[in-house]
Amino acid sequence: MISLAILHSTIRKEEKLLLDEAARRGIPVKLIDIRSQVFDPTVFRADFDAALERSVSTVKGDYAVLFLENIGVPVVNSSTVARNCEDKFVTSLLLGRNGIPCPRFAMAFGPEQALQAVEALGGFPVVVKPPLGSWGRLLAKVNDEDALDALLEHKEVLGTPPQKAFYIQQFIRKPGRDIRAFLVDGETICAIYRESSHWITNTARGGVARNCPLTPGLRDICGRASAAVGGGLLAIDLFESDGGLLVNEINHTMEFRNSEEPTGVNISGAILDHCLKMAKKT
Amino acid sequence: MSMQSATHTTQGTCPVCAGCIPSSARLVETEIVACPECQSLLVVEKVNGGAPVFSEAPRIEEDWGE
Repeated sequence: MISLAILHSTIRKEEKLLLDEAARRGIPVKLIDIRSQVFDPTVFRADFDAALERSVSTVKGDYAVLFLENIGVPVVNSSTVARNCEDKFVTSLLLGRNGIPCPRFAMAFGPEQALQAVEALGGFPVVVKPPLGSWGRLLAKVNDEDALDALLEHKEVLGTPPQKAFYIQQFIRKPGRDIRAFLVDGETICAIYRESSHWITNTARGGVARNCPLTPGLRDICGRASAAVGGGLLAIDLFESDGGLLVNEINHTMEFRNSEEPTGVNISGAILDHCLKMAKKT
Repeated sequence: MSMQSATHTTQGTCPVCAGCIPSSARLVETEIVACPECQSLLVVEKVNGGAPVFSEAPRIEEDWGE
């Protein structure tokens, strides 16, 4: 019998769904609260076959994954996939290098350079995002130079070092929604529209989930984006633009509490299936 | 499955407002719940044996998310 570990910090609805699904299938699951664990390679003994990383903290999750990989335990997602997805600049670079449509973007470290970047992107409005971050937090739609100056000054004075790296993205006008597609090992298993009258459509910010039919075009761009970051379990966020679908961001520890019901797809079951498959490979 | 969870009939107490937190739903240790009286976010610290124990939840940190 294959057994799994779930690396977690705060237990969310998603972890409960995964635990319920594992219980239904009789899959033994060891819960590892990474905040109370000591990751000492001379002491730690892995009494499970594969691990699923579900930490709400990106930094702590990264270290836990690196530790397990280095003692020979397969982890979903891998440290490589995590690195490629958790930093929006890295994701954008990989998408661009692989010819996958995405909004134009630039990185700058100072106000003058940021303004140059905005001009090169086609002018205002733009979106300024922290390279590391989630749930639509600290995103700023910047409409003019005065607002850009004020935002960047606040970041310079009040921000942590990562906040002082200005990831600037072309603003894409959306039809009151974006798309989130769920992928397992390169295959798109389902997708939702996230509908909101606000330009930020994250469900964590009030966006409403509705089923999005899978089209060949959606499957194709998602499959290519997945390959660009290393595959695994992914949630890909896309914009519908006048020029077609654009990949905005890719999430490697996705939340799906609002997506199983509208899509009718057992996402937690698909996640467990993938973990079992990875465990069998070793 | 090594999971500390339970469905309680006994009530817990909010460490912020001392209000009663009904525990009809299954609680899992480390889960975050909201106090129905003061809306404070609380962490489920302990669920086995007696009433569930709560503490104030940490503030959302910069690297939290998906």
